[in-house]
Amino acid sequence: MSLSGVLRKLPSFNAIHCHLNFVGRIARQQPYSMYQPFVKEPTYNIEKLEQLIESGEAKKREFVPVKAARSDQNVSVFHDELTSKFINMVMEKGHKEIATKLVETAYMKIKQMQLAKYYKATTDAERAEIELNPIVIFHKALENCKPVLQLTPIKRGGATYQVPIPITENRARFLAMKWMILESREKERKVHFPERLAYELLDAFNNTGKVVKRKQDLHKQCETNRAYAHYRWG
Amino acid sequence: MPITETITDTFRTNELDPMNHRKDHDGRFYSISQSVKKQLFTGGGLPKEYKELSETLNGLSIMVRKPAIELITYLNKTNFDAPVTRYVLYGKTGSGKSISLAHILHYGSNAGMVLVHVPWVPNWVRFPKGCTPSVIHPNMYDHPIESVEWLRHFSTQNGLLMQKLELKTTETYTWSKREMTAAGSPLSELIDLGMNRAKYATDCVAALLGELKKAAVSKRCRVLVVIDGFNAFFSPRSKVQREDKSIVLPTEFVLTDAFLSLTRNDWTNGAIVVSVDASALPLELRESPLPRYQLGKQGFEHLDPFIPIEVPNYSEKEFHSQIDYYIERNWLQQPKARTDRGRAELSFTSGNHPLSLMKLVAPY
Repeated sequence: MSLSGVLRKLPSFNAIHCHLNFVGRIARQQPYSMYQPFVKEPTYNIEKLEQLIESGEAKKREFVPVKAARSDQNVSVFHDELTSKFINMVMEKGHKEIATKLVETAYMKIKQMQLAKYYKATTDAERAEIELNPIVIFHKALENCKPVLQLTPIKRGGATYQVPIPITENRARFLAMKWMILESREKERKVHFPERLAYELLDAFNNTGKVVKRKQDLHKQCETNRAYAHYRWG
Repeated sequence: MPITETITDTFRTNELDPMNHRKDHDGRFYSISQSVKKQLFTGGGLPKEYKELSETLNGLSIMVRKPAIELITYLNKTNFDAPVTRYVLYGKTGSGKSISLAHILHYGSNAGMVLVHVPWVPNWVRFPKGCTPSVIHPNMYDHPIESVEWLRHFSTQNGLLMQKLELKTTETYTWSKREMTAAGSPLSELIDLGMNRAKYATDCVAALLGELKKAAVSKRCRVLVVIDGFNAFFSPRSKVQREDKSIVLPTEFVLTDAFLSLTRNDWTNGAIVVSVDASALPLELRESPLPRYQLGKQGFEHLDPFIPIEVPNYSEKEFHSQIDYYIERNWLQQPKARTDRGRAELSFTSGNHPLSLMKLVAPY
């Protein structure tokens, strides 16, 4: 049997029909991964690899099977995992190049806008306050947009209530990115996506703007519905 | 950054006068003041992305590179009594030809030469704003709007110099039954007429170029001709169509005739610096960046003999200088990219190609 046969498995139909007996009914399905569970994710960060070799961890991992690297996983100095995830979410119909270009243009515009402020500033103190690195701005903006609770519909006695429940890290990150992208796609197309995204990211970095407002609206809803919180457990 | 600041970085030079740029300035940036930039480049001359980047980075700084230094040395040593020498800058698209031409333009301005500058010829061939059949020349076409713009560009670049030189026309130009420019009238009158009357603007341009040629020969002024994308004059097609939808070739433009006559080596006391670029021609003709291929038979026979000057990719010194500049101006933000490993990666992925490097560094 070939190596790929050992590592991969046939698609199991159980994954699709799996319900967990959860009152909250968050259908957490098994991933659609074609790999067996024991196959590990690749480490493609050069610094991490060097650390592993130094500490001796690498020796232990020599014969552990590893998944194939994806096309966007690389050792470039410009590689950022969060940006990769974001680009994937921006992408439509598999046009990765266009998505990358859009996000990179947005980063460039962020730099342009911040540099304009920087060169206008007169004192060193003012200049020190201005953040110029677009990736730092992107990370902070996403942090500011991540909700802490989410609402889920729960049926009780014929009525469906929106019940506040805790949110996982991944879901929070997903919602932040999704809202960011939706706000940047406006109905009137005169201002294109990269420019809008740049404005939204800068606003979110300063804890203002539409996306942060959306998060705060969600939190307010959760607060008003706190009476139903016990419905989570029936 | 104000120019009076003492510059200690090795990638910059204090020498702001292009006439003094020599081999040891290779790979160093010199800044061009806002007033000079406004005077020389308002009508074009700097590539669009480069211009935007210079505005973002708070000041236009041009890297002194070997092609420009070579040209400056030649121009400083030229025997202006001999027929004009033609220099052709060639190289891959995005290797820095337009910037080298901009550098030479600054040199010419400082050297007191009258600048005849065409920022980008394909604009006249591929995106004409309304060509009309010429009245004076049968079967040829005018560019009324572009000629007015060019005359404006010429007077911005040479305004002060023309006032000082006080050149006069040598022959009478009759525009119509009632309008004429008499011999001996100042050239500024000719330029003003062209700027105000779009109908006659193209012929004004042709007349102006003829007058400058004569003025140069009679030693009243020294002329520097700088043309970017010269091979577009010999392009096999243009966007101008006749009523029967047949395509008008660029050689049938009056402007082409005027500039080709100026770039012939039948006059003295001047210099002609021209660039040929693959992006100036249609897609099928972009196989090779070399002058003979880009100019075609007609263009080559027109320009032959010329001195070809290659504009190559960055050398290692120039590459590091460019990265230093980006870091100092806070354009290259990623901390990892500023390390040796980052520089090696940028050098490899861009292939030391100036335009590719600019595009790679832009988002980060």
